[in-house]
Amino acid sequence: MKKYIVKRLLALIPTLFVVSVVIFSIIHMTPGDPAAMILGDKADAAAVEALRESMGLNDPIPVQYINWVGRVLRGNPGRSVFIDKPMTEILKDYMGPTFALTVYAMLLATVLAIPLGVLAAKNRGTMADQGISFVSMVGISMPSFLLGLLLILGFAVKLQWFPVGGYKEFGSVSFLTYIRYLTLPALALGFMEAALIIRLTRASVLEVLASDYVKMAKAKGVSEFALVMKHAFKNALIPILTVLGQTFMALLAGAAVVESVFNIPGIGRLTVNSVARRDYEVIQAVVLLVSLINVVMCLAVDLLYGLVDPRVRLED
Amino acid sequence: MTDLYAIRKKLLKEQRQLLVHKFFKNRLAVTGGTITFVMLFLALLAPVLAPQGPLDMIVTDRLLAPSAAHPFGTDTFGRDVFTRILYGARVSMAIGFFVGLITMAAGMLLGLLASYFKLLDEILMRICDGLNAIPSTLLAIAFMSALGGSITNVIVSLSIVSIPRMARIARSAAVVVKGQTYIEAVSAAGASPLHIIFRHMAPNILSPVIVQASYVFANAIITEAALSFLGVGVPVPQPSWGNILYEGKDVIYNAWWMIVYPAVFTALTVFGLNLFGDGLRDLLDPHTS
Amino acid sequence: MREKILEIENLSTSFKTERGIMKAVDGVSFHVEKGEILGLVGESGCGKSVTSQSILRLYDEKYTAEYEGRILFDGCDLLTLGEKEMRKIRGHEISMIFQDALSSLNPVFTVGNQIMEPLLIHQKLSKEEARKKAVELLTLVGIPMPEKRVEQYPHELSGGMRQRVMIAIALACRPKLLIADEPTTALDVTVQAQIMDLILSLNKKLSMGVILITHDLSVVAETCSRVAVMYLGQIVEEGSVFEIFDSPSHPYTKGLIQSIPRMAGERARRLYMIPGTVPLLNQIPSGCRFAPRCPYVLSACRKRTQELLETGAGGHRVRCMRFAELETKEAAPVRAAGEECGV
Repeated sequence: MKKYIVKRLLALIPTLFVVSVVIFSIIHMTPGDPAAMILGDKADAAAVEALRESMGLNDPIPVQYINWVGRVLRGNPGRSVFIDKPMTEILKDYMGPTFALTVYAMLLATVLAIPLGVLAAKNRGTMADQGISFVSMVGISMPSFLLGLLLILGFAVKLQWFPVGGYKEFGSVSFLTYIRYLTLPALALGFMEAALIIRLTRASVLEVLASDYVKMAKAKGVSEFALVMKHAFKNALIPILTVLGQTFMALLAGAAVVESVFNIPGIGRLTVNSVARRDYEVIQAVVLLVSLINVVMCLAVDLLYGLVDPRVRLED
Repeated sequence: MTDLYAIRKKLLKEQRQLLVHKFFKNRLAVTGGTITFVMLFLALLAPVLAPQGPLDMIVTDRLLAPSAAHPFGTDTFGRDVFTRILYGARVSMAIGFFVGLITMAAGMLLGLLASYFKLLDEILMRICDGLNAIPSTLLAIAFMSALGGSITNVIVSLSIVSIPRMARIARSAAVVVKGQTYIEAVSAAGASPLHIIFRHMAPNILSPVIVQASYVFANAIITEAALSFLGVGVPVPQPSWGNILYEGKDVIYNAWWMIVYPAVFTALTVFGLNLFGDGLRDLLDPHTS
Repeated sequence: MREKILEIENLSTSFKTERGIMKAVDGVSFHVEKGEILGLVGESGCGKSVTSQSILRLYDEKYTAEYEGRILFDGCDLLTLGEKEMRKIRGHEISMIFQDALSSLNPVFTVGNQIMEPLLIHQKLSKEEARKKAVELLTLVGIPMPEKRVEQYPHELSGGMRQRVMIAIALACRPKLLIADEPTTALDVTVQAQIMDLILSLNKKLSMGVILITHDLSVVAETCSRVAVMYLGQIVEEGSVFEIFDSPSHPYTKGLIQSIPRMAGERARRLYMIPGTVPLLNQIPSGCRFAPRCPYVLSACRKRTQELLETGAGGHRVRCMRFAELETKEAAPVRAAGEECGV
């Protein structure tokens, strides 16, 4: 187990190197001088030069890269030209709403989708299956921001059951109100992922139901229900578990767009606003943070995999 | 040898005919294909079908509800929403098509080379891992923020974020093909690596690559709409489905038609492409379904 | 004659597939007596497994399979039972051992858990009792350190041990009938012998009927009292193991027996091969189904559908119009082969 973890950690080094190089280069992809871009057309030459100097843009590119990595490792991934706070604090402020939204959407996506997928597989070919398959097909074609806009139109503007947008700090309002603000965004965000999980669960359960060990269980006298819920489900869960990590990441990244639809002050909105302000270092920091979470998530899922599937020997 | 070659060709031809037959028997694939072609048709014929120009403003006709004159209503500037959606289809389809094409070409090239040259494989796959670790929407936003909004930059950004996955798919297919006896035979006969790669291996990995390209196409349309909606994609006032939605969001209380129609068109197009892709996958690449 | 515990009458099993309805088993009749071992033999794809799984109705009846005929077990027709009553038969009265233990054992549950399952379902034992019984069963099937094994997962055991575990599961509720579907095919030769010995001794000890499905005729010769030979979904010959090996009457049975590898001394002779392969179910030939591969075929064989006929004494039945001639003409070399195999 220990050896496996060390091996996995070592394998992360090239990945993180590539991630860092890509994120570092973002700022250098601007057409022309980044400092001039940041300050806009009307800035005078002296101010641009001062910013170049303070951003270290006058150093050779490899030196800039090493300096930047050094700063990141010391927990200082850049400086916002707009918000006068250390970057880590900015990220912390904006991460809360994003995280809440992601977790809520994740709950919706799994708690609803997995049972529906099992149901569809168990009743394959029936109306219920076709209905579920159709909904999931629609879900896969419905990007979160589209669904978000349609939900606002239907449930906030017309029916007025939910607020049009915004975010309430946890604890500042009643839990119900807190949830009311997050429900439409979480639905919009989670629907596509839920659709994917439904399809995956259905396929996975169907595959397992056709396996020899399910036939063997049937020959033992196991009931249809236990066949699906005990024998098939735990096996079918293995491929589903591996995508849950990806699902979480897709939701976290997708939150960027949904936050803009619902005016939620999360890191996604921070990114979009920073684009307008040409606040490149904030964008870099956000992309870096999310990528790091992703990398850690993948590792965690790999390790978890070994717990669910006894066949996986982590020593190998 | 020539005999065998002729037989193989004949078999391949029969197989293709069988595929075409099976495709038309697959109702979902046909539905998806039809939707896709209708959208392509609308996009190509937008200048003919549209009642107005996409940028024509009639200041007196602002935010009119759908009517005979403006089937999908008008927007904040008095532009015809139907016209803008038709022209938006052009933008979406062009972006989807070029992103799909570039991704397919680059991904195939990288995947094939990686499958053949060991060192290159290591390097390319590590780069793919790294790029895959960065969520693609965020990376696209970051690229767009640096490059600036334009259709070309959207195509470039979306291609960069889609290539790693395509390269992986092409590589794993190529590795399988490379292990097959006939490649060994060609290789033993003294063919050069590049000849083997492009003449013998490339045609055999097309199936999974084409299937993936159809998904890249669909995804590019979604992401373009999202980027434009966020204001970092196709710059206003150019007509794009994302832009219409972006403008519609500000008047969501007054003009539902600015949300509903572009949303339906985007979702329907993506739906069609997904169905089409699933149908293609069932036909060409049945083991992965 | 001993008491019949299973009597199959005119069983047909058809599957709905993309290419239309396929009749994998077509009008099969045979019986199993109490405590006897019946061998069901034939090449791959001739319907042995489908027949055996039809007895327990393991195929999905809602979407794929359809059964016809009668399967009398203890005088009760299994095909008329409801799902709930059928469940009481499965694993309780009739058990099954599958070919590939690795894929037939559930990878995510421990061995103990899987042995306990039929006990918990059918005998309503408590968990502790079932566990104790599971350890006993593992001892019965000859697994050392049963206390340790019950906690292990299938992938942690060797192939032979997994097969023993499957047998333990099948025997858990002391069934009256055991269906063993190629129980040794996936195993090493030495392990094969051990597993067959185990099945034989348990058959004696528990006096349960066994249907042994195999394509390995030497195993049949050593273990079975009666044999039914299947070809393309039909029984082509049925009789006592002596009749089948000493005087096979159907050309297919003859072919199968001639293709058994011989012992030393006769090695110079080339191994016999039945020409051709088993046709697919959607290409069933008209007339006698074996005609296209039969060395004794006459033009009449291809025209007339052949019934399964009694050849005389002791329930020996053959599906061949030329059986009388063939029995006498070709008997000699076959008998020699049978003797050397130790019949």
